[in-house]
Amino acid sequence: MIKNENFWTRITRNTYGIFDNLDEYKKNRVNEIGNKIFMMASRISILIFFISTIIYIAYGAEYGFLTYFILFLIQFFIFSIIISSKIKANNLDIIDISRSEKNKAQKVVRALTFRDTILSIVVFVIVYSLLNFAIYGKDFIKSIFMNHDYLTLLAYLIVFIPLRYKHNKSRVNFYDEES
Amino acid sequence: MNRVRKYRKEKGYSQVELANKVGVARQTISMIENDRFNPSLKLCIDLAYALDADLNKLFWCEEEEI
Repeated sequence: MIKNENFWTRITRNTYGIFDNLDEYKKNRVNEIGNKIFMMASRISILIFFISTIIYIAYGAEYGFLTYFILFLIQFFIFSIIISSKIKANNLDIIDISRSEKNKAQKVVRALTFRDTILSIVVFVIVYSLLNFAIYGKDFIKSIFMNHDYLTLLAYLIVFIPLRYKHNKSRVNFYDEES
Repeated sequence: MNRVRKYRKEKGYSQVELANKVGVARQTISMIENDRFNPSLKLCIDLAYALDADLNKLFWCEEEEI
């Protein structure tokens, strides 16, 4: 049961993939995880900035920007994986459903997978367009709307959708009504 | 250590019902009952009101129990 939630609560829930309401327990755990990640990420960001500055001085602006962009993406994906594994380890992302509502679980899993797929397509197009912009110097706005590499997107989705469905299915936790 | 489960059963509430009464997730009630999470004073008071018990009865423990 999700009560009226403010903007930041909604952002926090979506960032950490929490399905039901962000109560005291979940807020505490999420804050703890977020603090640790922030401490690591802020230091690594400075390191990335220095590395790309050195590349910029040694090899020019294009290589400097590319280094920054690639290292930033690597950092982002590594921290995303760490966060999701910690969230899973703490059972914060579980979809708590009563045993008597098994049909509901299927619907929820499908709806979540659909939402994740739409989001991933948006992220894919943006990242792909940024890469086009960084590597080939194509116009960023044009490359968003003229993304011709549909085969790569299709291959990405063929891998992504079953994995995401499996992941969302593993989040479901059935409980006994009498417990 | 705490007696939330005992009082909840006495009142005939399920974990979900109690969770809805105090505005937390069922998982949180389960964590409190199993002593895996220390709730805030506000949540303790909410639980005490929901279970018609006072804080001492729900959460107080003798020195040797700690």
